[in-house]
Amino acid sequence: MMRMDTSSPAVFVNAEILKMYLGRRVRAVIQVMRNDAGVIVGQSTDGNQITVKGAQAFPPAHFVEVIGIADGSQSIRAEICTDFGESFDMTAYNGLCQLANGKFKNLFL
Amino acid sequence: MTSAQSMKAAEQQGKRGKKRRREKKKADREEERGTKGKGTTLSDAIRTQTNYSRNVIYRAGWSRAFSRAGERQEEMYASQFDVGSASLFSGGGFMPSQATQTPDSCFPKSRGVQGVLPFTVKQISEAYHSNDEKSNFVVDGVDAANVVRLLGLVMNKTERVTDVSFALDDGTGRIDVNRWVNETSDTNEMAIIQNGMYITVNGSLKGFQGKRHVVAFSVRPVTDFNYITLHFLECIHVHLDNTRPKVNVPVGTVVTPTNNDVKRYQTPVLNQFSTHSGIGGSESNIYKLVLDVFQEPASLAREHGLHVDEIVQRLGLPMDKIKDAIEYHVDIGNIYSTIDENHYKSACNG
Repeated sequence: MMRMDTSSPAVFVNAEILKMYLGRRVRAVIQVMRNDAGVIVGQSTDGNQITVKGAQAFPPAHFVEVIGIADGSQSIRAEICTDFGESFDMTAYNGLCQLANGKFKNLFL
Repeated sequence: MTSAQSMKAAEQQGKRGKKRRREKKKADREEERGTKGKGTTLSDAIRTQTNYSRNVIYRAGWSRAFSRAGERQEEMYASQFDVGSASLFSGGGFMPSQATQTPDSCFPKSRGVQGVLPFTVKQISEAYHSNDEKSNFVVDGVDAANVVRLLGLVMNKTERVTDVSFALDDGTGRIDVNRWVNETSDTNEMAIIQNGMYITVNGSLKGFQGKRHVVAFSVRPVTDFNYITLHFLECIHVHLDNTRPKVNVPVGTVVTPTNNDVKRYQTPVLNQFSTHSGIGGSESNIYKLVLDVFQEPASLAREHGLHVDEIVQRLGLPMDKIKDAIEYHVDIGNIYSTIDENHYKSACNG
């Protein structure tokens, strides 16, 4: 029995990279802009907007990591959300998104 | 049991306790260094990381001297406490350290004592695992059997009397983790770990009947979430370092071990990498020239490093060639950008 499962990885994405993974499991960090009736609107690490469905509300300006399914070119259906608090380095994370989808993809996917 | 025997047993018990505490301290120190990586920019994070590697290299040099003295003790421990006994004397960094028993090779690839190596679960799932009794795991040609560091979310935590087990999901995959609980401190450490929490695990990789899992020495919650970014950048960094062609320094040259390690940062492997990335000789010469400028003591002494224009001026070469070389050296970790994208500094000790 192989007790390791790499069948459904969560890809590091920003809003730009999200488009490439429609229907797939992704993870993104957003800074909450507003909560609209069960939908979070936030800014991705590349500055573009992402909406998150199926998550509880988070305080505005908080950084939140969303793991879920990319169900639209700018939208994620959340499975797990983690509040990263009020300070998080978006630039570094964005750099990681690019590395993890570029040269070093084989370490992640 | 004679009194002499029981005294010896008690002594060993004490040693084991001490060892565990030391290991814990070591992990704590690492944690500390790790969480210092609260860079506000990517280059900050990378800089922190570079400093970290430097530190580790220093300690690796020290550990070699120490491990000679420690060899006998190691043997003693090995039989009773095989989990990571070697790693105790290895300095514990994530960069490969040199083993004393391989004098014929400056950079042992698959043998020898290792420090803590950060990996993604995906890398471990692809690790080569020979089915012999030693059952070593090999990632990027490096033995990963000793101590690995993983970071991810806790899933399905199960508490038993003697151990706590859970699955760690780092987004690249999922692996089972086991943490034996012998002492109250172990129990306390595991009590705060909850499902859905981000944690770092330092542990040793085990394979049993084709099933891979991690036996954890320490399980700690992630408190600064920048550490997540840092961990995966470290994975990339270590991967790069382990897969990069190594310089072969002739045996017998008088080079101290520390210098040896630092050299790996300083000397690009011109003939080898040109075959790897398919670039011509003239370009690799430019790479070397550019790096040499960064390595000059005067450049190392400057806090913000050198401006791209200065390099262009110094070498009298076209801007695009210089930028190309800089990009190459940034990728490989020889230099990093400082105050803006025009200033770069060598990652070597200055």
